[in-house]
Amino acid sequence: MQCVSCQFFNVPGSAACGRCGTTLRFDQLDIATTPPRAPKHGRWLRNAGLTWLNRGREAVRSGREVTTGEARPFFGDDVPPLSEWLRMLVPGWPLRRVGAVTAGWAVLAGWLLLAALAVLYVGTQLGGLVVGLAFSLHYSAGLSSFRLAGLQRLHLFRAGALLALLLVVVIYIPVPLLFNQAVQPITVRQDFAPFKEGDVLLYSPAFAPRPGEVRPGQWIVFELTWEDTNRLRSGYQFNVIMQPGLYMSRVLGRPGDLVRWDGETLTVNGEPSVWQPAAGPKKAQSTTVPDGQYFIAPWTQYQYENNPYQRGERPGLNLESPLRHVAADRVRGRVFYKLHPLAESSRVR
Amino acid sequence: MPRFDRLELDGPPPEDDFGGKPAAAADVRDEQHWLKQADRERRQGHHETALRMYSRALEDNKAVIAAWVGQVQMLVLLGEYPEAELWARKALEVFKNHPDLLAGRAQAFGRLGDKRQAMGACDQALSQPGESAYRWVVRGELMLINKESIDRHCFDKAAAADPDWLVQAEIGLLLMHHKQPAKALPRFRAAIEAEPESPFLWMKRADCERALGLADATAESLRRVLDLAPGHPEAKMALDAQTARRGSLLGKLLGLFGH
Repeated sequence: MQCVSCQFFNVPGSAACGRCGTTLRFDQLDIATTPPRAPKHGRWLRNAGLTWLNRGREAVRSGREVTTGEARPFFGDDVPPLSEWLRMLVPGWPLRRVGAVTAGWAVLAGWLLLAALAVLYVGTQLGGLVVGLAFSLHYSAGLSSFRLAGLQRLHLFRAGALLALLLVVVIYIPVPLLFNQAVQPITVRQDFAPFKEGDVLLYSPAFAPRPGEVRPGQWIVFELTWEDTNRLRSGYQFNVIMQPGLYMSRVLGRPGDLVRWDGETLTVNGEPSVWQPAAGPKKAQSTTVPDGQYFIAPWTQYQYENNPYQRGERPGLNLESPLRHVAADRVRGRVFYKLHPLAESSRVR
Repeated sequence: MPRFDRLELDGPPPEDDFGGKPAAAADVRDEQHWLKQADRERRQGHHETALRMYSRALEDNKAVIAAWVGQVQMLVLLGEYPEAELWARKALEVFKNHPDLLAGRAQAFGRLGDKRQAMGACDQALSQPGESAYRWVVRGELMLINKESIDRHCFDKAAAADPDWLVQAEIGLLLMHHKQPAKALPRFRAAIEAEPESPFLWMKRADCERALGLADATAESLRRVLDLAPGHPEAKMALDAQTARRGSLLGKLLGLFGH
């Protein structure tokens, strides 16, 4: 009796195959021979549902395997070592390691050039574009090195995704953030002597001066809040029509300084101030700068000529006005450098 | 080659399909008869009818493994994957570890997205003794599903294990199922080389060519289908649609780019 499944010759009279266990008595076998059929309608939907269900199960299973360390190697047999990933942080280095020495040096030189341009054009649209180009160069060089090292298809895709994540998390997000803490650009929006519209100035939020550290004549960046722009004065609601935010001005007097206007000259402690108004009232006036405040020149964006809401102050000087004072704790940094235009690039004193 | 059976050549009269039995015996409808019917229908792409023929064969003789395997294969080709898996499992209860039934189960699992079970069943099928094309076809399909690059090697191995053009045609069908017309076209071409008179193969080839945007080749294949099977409704409709499209301005513009 030969088995129909494995062709093994069994002893006559056997009920099942001695090798594979298949029955040898099909005449006694009670089994349906017509297969079950799927419903005519919705077959595709059912198959799609079952497929996605199985894919979901597969994903959950894979996730469990990753957490228990049983997963297949993410990169097959070609796992890039940790040192390779660290080299990726230096543009062009991995390329040199895989033999593309000239390309590696060219990438590094190009990246340094772009980084220098990014610093020079910080705070401008061009600066952002240059940072993007630097990232592209860095990333594509890393990806090329993976490809030259022999990573293929899916593994290359995975390595590329990880590389992008690594570069963004380690370099291209934290470094600009830190840089912006150390050096922040301000773009001057309208002519404000000695600056002109479009000039880019730098100040440092991380090294903001403590109260009392600012000397007269220095340029400061200060922040106004709603509390500063809306306040009660002499029983009336005093509204300064301006938005809270960062402003720039020049400090003229420190706390305790005597500021005096004699109808022609503005003096601080008897010395002519570094800033003089173009015009002023004939009537003499004086004030002592209160503790915790600085006496400042008019602000950048809100000079009298351009702000119709302050015309009441014309011809230009009210020493008691809250617009002339800024609290020391509102100072966010000292302007220290004029970056643009590059031809006039110089330190601001 | 059944089409040469009726040629009037010198020598003894041709034997019929039943090994030279008397003509009256040709009406005997045993399991072999139904198997042949099923095979004929399958080669014409009539999978529903082939499935019925396999069932008829099993009604006559439950020990015909080819019919069980054929049923599972037809259920897969008809897109009834849960039923195919269930049926393969049932058949495996009788024919323990039969490689083609295991392969059929693996194919059903693969189509349902259960890669793990599919690979398990396929590994089991390949570990069984003997050599059959179907298990390599299924292996290739699973490689394709897993996006591994060795699917072609498995399909070539299947074609080498069984030179029947049906193997190439069914590889082409599964490649089309996975939206790989570029890979399917050479399979249908190979099948057509072996069987140039099959409208089914020409129709499938036309489908491939249409998916690849080869308008002229598609029209040529469809015309070939109509030559072989005049009035073939599907081919006629496709050719009419193609002609109408080529007559339109958009069609002419696309024609400039080879579409």
